[in-house]
Amino acid sequence: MTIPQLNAERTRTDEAVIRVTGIQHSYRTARGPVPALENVDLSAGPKRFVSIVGPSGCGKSTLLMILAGLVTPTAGERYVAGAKVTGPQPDQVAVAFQDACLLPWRSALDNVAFPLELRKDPRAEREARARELLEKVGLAGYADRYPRELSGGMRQRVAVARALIQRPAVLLMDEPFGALDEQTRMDMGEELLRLWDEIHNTVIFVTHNLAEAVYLSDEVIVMAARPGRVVERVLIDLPRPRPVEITETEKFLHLRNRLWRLIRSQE
Amino acid sequence: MSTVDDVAGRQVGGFALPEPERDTSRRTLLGWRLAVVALLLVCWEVVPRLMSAPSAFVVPLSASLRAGADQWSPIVESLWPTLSAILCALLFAWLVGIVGGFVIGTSPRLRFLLLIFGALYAVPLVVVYPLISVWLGPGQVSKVLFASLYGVVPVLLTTASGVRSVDEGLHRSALSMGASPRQLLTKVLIPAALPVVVSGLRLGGGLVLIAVIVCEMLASTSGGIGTLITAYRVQFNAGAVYFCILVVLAFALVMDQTLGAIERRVAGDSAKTRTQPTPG
Ligand SMILES: Nc1ncnc2c1ncn2[C@@H]1O[C@H](COP(=O)(O)OP(=O)(O)O)[C@@H](O)[C@H]1O
Ligand SMILES: [Mg+2]
Repeated sequence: MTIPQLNAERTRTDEAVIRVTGIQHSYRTARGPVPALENVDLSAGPKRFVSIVGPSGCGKSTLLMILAGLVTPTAGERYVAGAKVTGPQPDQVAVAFQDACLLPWRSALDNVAFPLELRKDPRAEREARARELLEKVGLAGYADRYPRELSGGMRQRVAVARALIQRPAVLLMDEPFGALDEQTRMDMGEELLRLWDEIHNTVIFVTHNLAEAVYLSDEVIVMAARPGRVVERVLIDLPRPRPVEITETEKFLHLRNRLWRLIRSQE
Repeated sequence: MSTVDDVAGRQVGGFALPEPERDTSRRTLLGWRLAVVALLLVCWEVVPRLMSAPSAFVVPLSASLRAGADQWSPIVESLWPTLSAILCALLFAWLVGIVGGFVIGTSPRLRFLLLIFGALYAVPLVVVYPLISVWLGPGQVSKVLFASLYGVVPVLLTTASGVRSVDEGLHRSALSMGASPRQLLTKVLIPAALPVVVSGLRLGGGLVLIAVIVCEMLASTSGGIGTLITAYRVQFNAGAVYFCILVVLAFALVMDQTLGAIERRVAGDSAKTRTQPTPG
């Protein structure tokens, strides 16, 4: 290996915005420990869109919670922007959950502004920022609506806006479109890419939809169950920006089938 | 995106209830209630006269009101001991119940206490009143203590269950946004649990009222409306007994309606919509 190559390798890992190593996790339950993850390493560089796919129960959500600092793993280390940390890092890491998790007694605007309120930013400032973000996710006219007055897709947009208001270096998303119908899901994926082109931070996106993973990502992490582990890291070298028609190209289908075979072979 | 607008349009349409229609339906409901109450009062007046029952047991409305007027000053003097005992016991039962419920509801290690309080709920606590009145004397203090004990249990149980039923996801997402434990409590747990907590306050309030009156009826020296009821019963003054019962009913109604209004208000707030302002 030549010296320049070595250096390139080193800068790439050093640059990882978020990284976990040697992650081991079991849930403690009344019926004894339930193993969820075994020896998982994962890192994501700046401005990378990384998806995690795998069968249900393989520990995707657990891994994301560990990345978010919401679950403390049984063993292993977590680095955010190079620093070894535990617990949530609201200035650097934001999370959007599958069920949008909006506060039902707050309007869309107040939900989006909530992270800034927790940081005790002045009201005028946080409302201006929240409006700006609502506009960005296409909900400019819905600031005063309450979550139950919004459709599932709109609630999810509010949740994304709320995560983005934290200006996170890393955005973690756990099947954010999992509860939506297929059409809305495609629209949301397309919009997420458009939004991401603008913000261009690091995204870690959990999904069980392989086409969605290929369409969105720079790389896809394939996981397997029992024990929950990473089996492969697939680079998605499709050009950007990606129009929806890309999903019909041979290359796209090839990548999707490759992921499919990888998951099948583990069962 | 056109699909989004379509969905929103349909949804809001579904929520919109024309205001005037709601108003009239509320008014007719109130009208019906008043009519039922008026009918009962008329029956109270007429039926005893028709039955010509012995006047020691059943008396018409007019006779009760007259008895009330005759006994006006002892009744007015009894109001304060009863009212002050209710207010003190309410304050204590609500405060301890809410704080205790939040503490127990949020800490898994204290969950077992819920079982104990749940069992306590089934025990007829009246049996401890004689003990309390022996220890503390039959005055205000023992009344307040007993009524507080009686009322605190449902407040504590409902508060704890309200706190426990708060969506785990809300909790987790607030944590990920950097909420401190204090912010978690004031900005997530309390508002999310509030509707359930208020319904617990209402339950506890009813029990406090019952407990105070029962204490007063059991101990002839404790003073208050309950004591007066027992006294009139012994004197065969049925009219005055009925009048005192009316006074107690009025207490109960005022308290329950107030809490009911607060409950609706809180429930309305947590689900407020633009097209459907909170009634009232
Ligand atoms: N809170 C929990 N307590 C006990 N076991 C859990 C808990 N959450 C998840 N698990 C278990 O851990 C494993 C991984 O779950 P999860 O991370 O939710 O997988 P995925 O998101 O890929 O479907 C599963 O076997 C699941 O049953
Ligand atoms: Mg999951």
